[in-house]
Amino acid sequence: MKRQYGSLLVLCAWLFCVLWVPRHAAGIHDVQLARMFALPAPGLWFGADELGRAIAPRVLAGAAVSVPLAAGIVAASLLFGSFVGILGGWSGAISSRIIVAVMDLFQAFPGLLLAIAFAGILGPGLGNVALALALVSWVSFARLARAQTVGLRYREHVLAARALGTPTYQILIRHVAPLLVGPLLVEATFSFATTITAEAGMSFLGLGAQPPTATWGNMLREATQFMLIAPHMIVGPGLALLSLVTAIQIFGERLRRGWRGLSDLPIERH
Amino acid sequence: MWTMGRRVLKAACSRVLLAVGTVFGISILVFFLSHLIPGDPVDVLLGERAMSTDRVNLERSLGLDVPLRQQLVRYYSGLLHLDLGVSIQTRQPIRTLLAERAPYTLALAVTALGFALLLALPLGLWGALYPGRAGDTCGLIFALLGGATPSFIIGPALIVIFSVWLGWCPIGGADAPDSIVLPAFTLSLGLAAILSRQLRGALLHVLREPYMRAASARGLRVAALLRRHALRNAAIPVLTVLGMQLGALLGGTVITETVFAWPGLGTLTVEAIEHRDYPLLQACVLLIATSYVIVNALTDWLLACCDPRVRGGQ
Repeated sequence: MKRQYGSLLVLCAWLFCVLWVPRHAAGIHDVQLARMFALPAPGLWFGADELGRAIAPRVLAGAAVSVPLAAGIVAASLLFGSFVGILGGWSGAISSRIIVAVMDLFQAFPGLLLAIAFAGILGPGLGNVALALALVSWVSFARLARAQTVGLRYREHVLAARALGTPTYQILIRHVAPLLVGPLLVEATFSFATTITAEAGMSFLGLGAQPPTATWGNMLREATQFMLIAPHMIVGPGLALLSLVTAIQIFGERLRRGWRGLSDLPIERH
Repeated sequence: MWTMGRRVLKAACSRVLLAVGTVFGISILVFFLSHLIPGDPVDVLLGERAMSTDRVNLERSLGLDVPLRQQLVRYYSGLLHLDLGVSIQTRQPIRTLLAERAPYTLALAVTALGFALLLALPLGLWGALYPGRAGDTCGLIFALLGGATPSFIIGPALIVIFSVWLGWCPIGGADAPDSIVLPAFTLSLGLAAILSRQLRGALLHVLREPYMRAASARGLRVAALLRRHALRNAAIPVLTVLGMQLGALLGGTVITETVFAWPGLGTLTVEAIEHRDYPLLQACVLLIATSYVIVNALTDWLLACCDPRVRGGQ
């Protein structure tokens, strides 16, 4: 029981933080030099940073920035990627080939490197990081949607709909897209974890939100600068990132197994 | 005796052509990267109150003083002559800078690959031979945490533990021969996590095959059984994943090198971004992406060599 719902519990806890924190975020930037580099203590859970700001509330505030941002990036890439993928899987030889070539080209880059290059060119800022990550992450959705669509093209229910003269857009929306939802959602879960890590990594490099905004990447960047005198600064944002990403991955794995079991059933909605 | 079949040759040729095409596509994308700079790059670099002579000089050194078509021609003739221009920041030829830094990244990537194999092989083997036992569970936890922990958390943690507290390794840089250990280990964790799980899965699949039972019925010892039958067949899916994951490794060098101040291509990329040295940034991206394409093509070739169905050429 506990093992089964552990990841869901962690996810719900973070979701609660994201929804609850923005209204209670006052004072997270307050500088208190008296407690500079203070070690963790009761009431000051993860200690204080180089300006004496308490780390724990800043970690929660960071979640309120990073999690919605990553969700937005994943949603945008999911929509765009599956649109392109369905188009590439359904359409004729030439346009399909062009789409595949573009996907191959994007896939030929190490994803994080391309996002870093995009963000480096566009300049620092959360919006540019989001744009750069979305430009990179749509490809996996497109690839998956295309592969699935190609497999569905000659399924009986699709052929029947075509024989009945159903317009193509209706076939795609009513008979193809619903069957893609499961695999795409599973992919979205893993992509969510990757995007949160990538966003933190880019903030770590100084490309994301600028100080004093608290994001996990920013806090880890500051922590690394002072790691020789105040190693405890890594713990708060590090644990936060780890717990969230691990929980998402376990949840995604569960979702994948569940979906695989479900899709084996010989039931199809018409 | 293995002979190079015609099919291998044909597959190799088409793979090389594909790689060349991909590199061409990458070079186009990299060329247009610099055109994504919001506004006028000269304004971005010099500010709006710059002297007009400075503006003209910078425009010329960026190659922006001619129409797009000529810029493209100049770019490709430069690439073909391996002339990548001059860094805006240091005024050194970019080729020299890349040649200085690339060996460090290569050394880091190769060492990380070695570490990853050293970690993944025993974990994967143990997990497949004794599934569900304590060792397998440890492997699962390692894979989960290793895959989820980004290098900018594990790197500083390793520095604090092994450099500051224990004093075993240098904190950063590449002055001592043992300074490669921590960055390579950090870089290897993600790869080791995926490889160990992949190897375990592939081995479990192979061990259930009837020919394995037949081989053990013939009285083969476990070691010979694994070496001659199981590992060879499990190598194919593992190699495929290895090729795909090397890209993540190369992209990961940017952050890992920054954490450890390792003087490779990754830190060069970050320096180029910090100084808005766009030609240098383009060259770094081009070099890393091209090496990824080459690595992928090599992996495919290696796969073809491993698989007797392709190798035999029947």
